[in-house]
Amino acid sequence: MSTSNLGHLALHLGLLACAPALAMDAKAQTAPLETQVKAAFLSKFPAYVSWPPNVFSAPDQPIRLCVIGRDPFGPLLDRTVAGQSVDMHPILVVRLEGTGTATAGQCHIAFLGGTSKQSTAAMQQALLEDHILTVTDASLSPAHGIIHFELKGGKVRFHIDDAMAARSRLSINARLLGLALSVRPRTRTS
Amino acid sequence: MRSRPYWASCGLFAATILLSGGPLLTTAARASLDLRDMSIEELGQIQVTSVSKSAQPLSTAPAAIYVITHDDIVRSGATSFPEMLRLAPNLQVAQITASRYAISARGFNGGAADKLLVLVDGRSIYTPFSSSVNWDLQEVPAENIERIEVVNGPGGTLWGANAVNGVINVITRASGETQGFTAELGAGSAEVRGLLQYGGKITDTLTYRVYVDGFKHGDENITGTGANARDGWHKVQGGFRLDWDAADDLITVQGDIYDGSEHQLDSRNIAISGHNLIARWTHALNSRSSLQVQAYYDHIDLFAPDEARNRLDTFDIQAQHNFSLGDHEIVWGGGYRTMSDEFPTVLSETQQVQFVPESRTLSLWNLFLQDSFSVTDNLKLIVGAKIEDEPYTGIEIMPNARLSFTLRDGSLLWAAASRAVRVPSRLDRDVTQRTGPILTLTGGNMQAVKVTAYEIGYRAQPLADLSFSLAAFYNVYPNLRSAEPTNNNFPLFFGNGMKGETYGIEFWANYQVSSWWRLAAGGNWIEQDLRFKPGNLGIGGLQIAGNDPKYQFSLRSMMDLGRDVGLDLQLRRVGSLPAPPSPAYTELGARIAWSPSKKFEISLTGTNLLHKYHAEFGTIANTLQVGPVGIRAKRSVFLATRWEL
Repeated sequence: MSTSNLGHLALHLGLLACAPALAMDAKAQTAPLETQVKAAFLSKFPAYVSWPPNVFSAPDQPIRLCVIGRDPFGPLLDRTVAGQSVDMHPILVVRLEGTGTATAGQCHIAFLGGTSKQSTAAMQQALLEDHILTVTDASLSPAHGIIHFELKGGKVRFHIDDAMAARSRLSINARLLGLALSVRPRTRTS
Repeated sequence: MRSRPYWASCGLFAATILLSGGPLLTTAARASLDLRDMSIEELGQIQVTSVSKSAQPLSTAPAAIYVITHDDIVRSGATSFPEMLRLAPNLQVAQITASRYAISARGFNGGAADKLLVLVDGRSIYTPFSSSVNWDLQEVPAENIERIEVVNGPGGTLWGANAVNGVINVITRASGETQGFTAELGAGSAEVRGLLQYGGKITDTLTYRVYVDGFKHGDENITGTGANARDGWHKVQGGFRLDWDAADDLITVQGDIYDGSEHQLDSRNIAISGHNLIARWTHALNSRSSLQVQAYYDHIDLFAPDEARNRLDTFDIQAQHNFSLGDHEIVWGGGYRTMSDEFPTVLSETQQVQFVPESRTLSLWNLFLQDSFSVTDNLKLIVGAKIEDEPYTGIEIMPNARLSFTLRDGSLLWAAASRAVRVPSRLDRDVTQRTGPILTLTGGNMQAVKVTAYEIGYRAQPLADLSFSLAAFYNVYPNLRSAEPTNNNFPLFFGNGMKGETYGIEFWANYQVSSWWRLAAGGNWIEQDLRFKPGNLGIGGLQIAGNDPKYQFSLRSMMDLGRDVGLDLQLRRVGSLPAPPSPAYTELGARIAWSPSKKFEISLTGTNLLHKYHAEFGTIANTLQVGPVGIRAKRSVFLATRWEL
């Protein structure tokens, strides 16, 4: 085989190996604007949330953004968080089937998609008081996490349950609270 | 430390492709790379859908709704409304000629199908002349369509009269989403077509677009006997849209103007022209309430030389207020519309139809109220009514009640009961016809056609990749249109001597086979049980109600082959039609598109590929048929290019 043929073959192999990544990108290409805006919000929420001091053991430990159950984002979410970091912590996307695994407890943010086996409401109950910022979506389920996406006036908005955040020992920046459609305030004792 | 994406190990080659963005990116997807640079406040300002009459997420809407997305339309290669509407499995679309289509939902289809309300950005496009839609007059370039919402079931409460079996809502893109220079040019075996459009910004919040497009469709189809059908036509259209997006206000002004000509088999060309202007203001009162006011003016002109000329001017103004009260979301409002038409006809040996009076102005006003009440977190009740003062028949009330229940797994079960009316048109009330010396048809006293509809549906996403929707309906029509004699003799007039029930099932499903391949299937099945009232002569037979297939099925495959190529196939199977009779048929549409960069795309679309010629609405006339006789449509191909500068 001549040198040029060999080179050509190597290029083809490179393409094949990359094909899954390219093909998966197609799903990101056709994601509606609403989904992209929600993915962008998820990548920005960590900057407005403070976790308890012992949650991050290293200054550059990744922030685990988990998608538990139904995933409306696909690789769009990975692309959105790629290269982003908050206070030196990069963001890592992890996908889980349910809250039953040990790794669920290691999530810092969890988008709850629900499954036929475990509803969004059940997932949210399971992750309460676990210093996890739970995020839910009105278009998937009426169950509320700490942050609950809802379309209002054709724009992606969200409700914040600060009382639930307090129970999870999370502190939410006032700037984010100010943007919410509604805030359930934390009680004086929490 | 920057985390390395898993695909970076594929090599520089792959990384370069991904970073440069794919050619099949939608306008929205192109923006995704920009969203990361926006502040969190800016993200919450992005308009992701239009503000519809009832601002709730579509997947929880308790109705048989199907949304045709912008991508669905572009990928199918459809350029006219009727061809785009084929993508909705809950609609019946039958091509009559190159420019005329019979489109209906849940039965009663015909050239002048009268039970479907169609709106383009809130502007009603049905004509009160025959209470039907002139599909040949209306067009929006596919480029500018955001989505088409097809809602089956009576839409009387929110949309008013004539939404008896369904409502079609065409929503165009805001000008901010169609910026820059776009040109499209294409030619094929049946037509040539072109579009030139420019979208710009006056300030960051004030954007606009202007466009001009045109097409010429040749005389390609044949009649039932094989002769050339002479149904070619051409049209030029131009228009603009201006959007001002301030913090709490959204103002849109848009308009179009068009002019064209349709060939006729046995007579001179019909000249079609028209123009329209819409202004719309949406004001957010606070985060839980908004106000919308819209006014529009529409003019159409259909001129058949030596025969007739129909001119119609419509002026409409409507307002609505959306607000929340505890667990209730309330929308209420009202409107006023006036329609002024002239229909002079030239009487001759062959043309004996006349409208008495030739010119008439019809007005109506309406008020409506709807309350969406969250009984519990999972159970929602929607109750509403519209009261409308109709031309010819006075006050009509259209109530509806809907219940939706979200199950533990996220799926939705819904049920509805509603009532709607189809008011008589100029054709029903004012038409006269002579045959020789005898007056054969005269204006009568037809009353509004009513429907009481009962519906139930289920929508679920059982797997991450699979979603489906099922809906069943049972409609009761106590007074359908019929032709009545005067003392057992001529002249005939239109009355309400027919009645009956229709029932059926509609379904659609979406399956993401892999990340680059999606399948969509859909279909419907209808049974009609119609009869004339006791003592009625049954003139014309039950076939005067409409011409509908018992079933319809479609399958679509959408593939992204590699980065630059898209392949789309649409297969449809439609059952036979009774009168005019048309055999059941199967047809295939296909489109392959190559887009090496986001600024250029070339595509080849094939339409009706399985047979050289096929008919969809019979090829002979029906009794009391309005409009042209069906032709046999020819297989065609079309090569299109799209450029962004």
